[in-house]
Amino acid sequence: MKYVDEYRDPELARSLSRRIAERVDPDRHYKVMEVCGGHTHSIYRYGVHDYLPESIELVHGPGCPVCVIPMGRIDDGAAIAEADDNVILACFGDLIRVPGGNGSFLDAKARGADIRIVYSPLDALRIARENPDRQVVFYAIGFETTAPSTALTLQRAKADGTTNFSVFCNHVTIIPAMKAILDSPDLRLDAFIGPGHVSTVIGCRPYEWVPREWNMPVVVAGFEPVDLLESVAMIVDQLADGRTEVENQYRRIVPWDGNPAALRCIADTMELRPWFEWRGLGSIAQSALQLSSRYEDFDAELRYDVPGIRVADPKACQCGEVLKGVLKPWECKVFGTACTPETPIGTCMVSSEGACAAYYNYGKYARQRVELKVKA
Amino acid sequence: MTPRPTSSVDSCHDEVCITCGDVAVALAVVSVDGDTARCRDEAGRFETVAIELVGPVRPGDRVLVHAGVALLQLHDET
Repeated sequence: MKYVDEYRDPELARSLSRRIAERVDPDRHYKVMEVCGGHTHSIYRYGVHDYLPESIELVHGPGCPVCVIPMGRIDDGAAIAEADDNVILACFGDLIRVPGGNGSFLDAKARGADIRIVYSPLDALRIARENPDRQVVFYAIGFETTAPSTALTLQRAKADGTTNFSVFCNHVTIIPAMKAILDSPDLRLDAFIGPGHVSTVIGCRPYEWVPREWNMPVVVAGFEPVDLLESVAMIVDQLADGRTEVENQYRRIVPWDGNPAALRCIADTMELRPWFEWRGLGSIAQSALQLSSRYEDFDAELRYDVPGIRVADPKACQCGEVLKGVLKPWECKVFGTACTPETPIGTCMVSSEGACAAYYNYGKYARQRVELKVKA
Repeated sequence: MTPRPTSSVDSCHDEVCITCGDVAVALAVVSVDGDTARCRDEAGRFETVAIELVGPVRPGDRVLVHAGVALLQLHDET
């Protein structure tokens, strides 16, 4: 991709690091939350922490859609897949190992359920067309970046009269989650790094309530290390100047008004749910999407007997605190011991965008490097 | 994490699952057939992409793709 080299330039990164260090208030501690799991992954992968002064703490938010899926919804998907032999459940790859109360989709597959990994909901629709005698259910997850692909698939299915395709909708929306984080008494933040590709769909305007109501900067950022450092520099500049506003660091990609065609497509096919349970954040009003009445014929929740049982997280798992930014991954009591990417207990260790998996995959090596350096 | 094969049916791209998270990739349009474009990434892998949500695209254009759907047409000046 064009610009990648420029946005990984070590000299540029060092220059931004100096700029940040010059502008921070030495007597102040800054808590900056990146709400997006893709940002969390990049921060650990590139060691962005190492370029920041100690007074800036990056807090990881609930922006990994796999991580916020509650266990009960996994059980619901498995129940649909095992409803009868005629069902094919299609889902994204990261979802297949997420533990539910009754095991993961991989366990359901081992029990005989026909569960297939797809790259796009359009692939699930194609499977339905290729298997007219089977019922294909797409298990939809994701924020506003992914919702357009599900919405477009529904429009195509309706247009060509496909009747053996339905969607189990778990799409969530980022703004209510940010509101829940700010309303939580557990955490006091100074700024948000706004999600990059969610904002290609929703634009930057939906964040304007944050500076207005909370007097807090939001900087929409790209995913390269220089993007992230520049976004932190922009946040520090705002706070040093006494400004709080929404800024767009990722201007080369994100239009200020998002993608109106994608938003229309979502509005045609989906509507807000009254409530949705988020792992770690609890039930949040109007924070997720369900199929609109125009598309009820494609709604798997109406087509199948979904248990809908709320399942408590395992006692040892502290994903909820990690997702709220209250705990760092390594502060969880099972991190790296009972809970690893190979045998995850919590969702944050399953997805590569989960804070625990990202830290396990990259942070550990950094610690080893430091230890080796000391020994030498 | 398994790299995405040339067939569009598999899970992930590079080290992160692009379908699950807030990750999208820039692809070059190779050919257009109605609402669908055949696109290629920098590694030479091909992908079929739905283009209804972006304006008309032509071979040579670049689009930002997530889960098989183009979310944005990329311009050099942006």
